[in-house]
Amino acid sequence: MDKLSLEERIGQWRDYLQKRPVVRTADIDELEDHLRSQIEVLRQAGLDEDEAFLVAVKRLGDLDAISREFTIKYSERLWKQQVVISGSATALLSSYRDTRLAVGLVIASALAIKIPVLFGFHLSLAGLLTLLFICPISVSLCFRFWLFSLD
Amino acid sequence: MDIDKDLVAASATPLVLAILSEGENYGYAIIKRVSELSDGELQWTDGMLYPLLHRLERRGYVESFWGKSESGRQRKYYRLTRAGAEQLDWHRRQWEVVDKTMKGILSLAVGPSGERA
Repeated sequence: MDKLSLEERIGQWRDYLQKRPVVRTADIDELEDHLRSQIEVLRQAGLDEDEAFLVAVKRLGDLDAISREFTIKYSERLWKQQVVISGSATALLSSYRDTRLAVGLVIASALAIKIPVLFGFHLSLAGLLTLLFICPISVSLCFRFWLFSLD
Repeated sequence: MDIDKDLVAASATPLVLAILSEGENYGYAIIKRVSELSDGELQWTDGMLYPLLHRLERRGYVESFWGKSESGRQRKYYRLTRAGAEQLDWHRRQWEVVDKTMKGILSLAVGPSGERA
C-alpha cells in the first residue's frame, strides 16, 4: 500500500469528523487549524510527517469524546428549544403574567377555603373539588415561573 | 503530578477567560499558554477546549471571528466581551476565597507521617 501524504491523512481525518452531524464544518475547520499548528510544531521538533500527524491526532483527543462534547453543546440548545416549545401553549402569557396568574390562583384557592367558612358553611364536596383543581394549576405555574427565572 | 479531573474542569473556564483577558487568541495558543502557566502540570485533552470556547461564546462571555494564521490558513480567534470580563471577576473572587481557605487549613494539616506541611 502506498504511503499516504499528510494532506491525504488530514483529508481522511476530516471525512471521519464530517460523518458526525453535530460537528459543523466550521468546527472541523477550527480543529484542523489546531491539528496543523500542532503538526508544524512537532515537525520543527524533528518528527517526520507521519509521526507528527499521529501525535497531533492523539493530543487532540478521542474524536468520539469531542463529538460527544459537541453533542452536549447542541443538546443544551435543544433542551432550551424544548423548554420554549413546551412553554408555547402559554406563549400568550409572558412569564410576568404567569406570575400574576399564579399569585391570583393561590389567592383564589385561599378564598375558596375561607369564604364558605366566613359565611358559616363547611367545605362542600364541590369546594373541595375546586381546590383540588386550582391548587395543582397554581403550583405548576409557580414552578414554571421559577424555571423561567433560572435562565 | 496528576491533577484531579474535577479540579481541571472547574479551573478551565476561569483559566480561559483570564488568558483571553490578556488579548484575543486562538485555540492552539490558548492551550500552549495553559501549559506555560502551569509548567506543564495542567494537561487538557486539546480537543476539549473547543466545545468549552463555544459554550463561553454562546453565553456571551467571548466572541469569535475568523482571521488568518501566519501561513495564511483560516483561523478562528476569540476575544473577551464585557460580560466575560465581569464573569472573570466573579471567578477571581471565588478562587481567592477557596485559595485563602485551603492555604490556611492545609498549612496546619498534619501529613501521613505526622509532619506539618
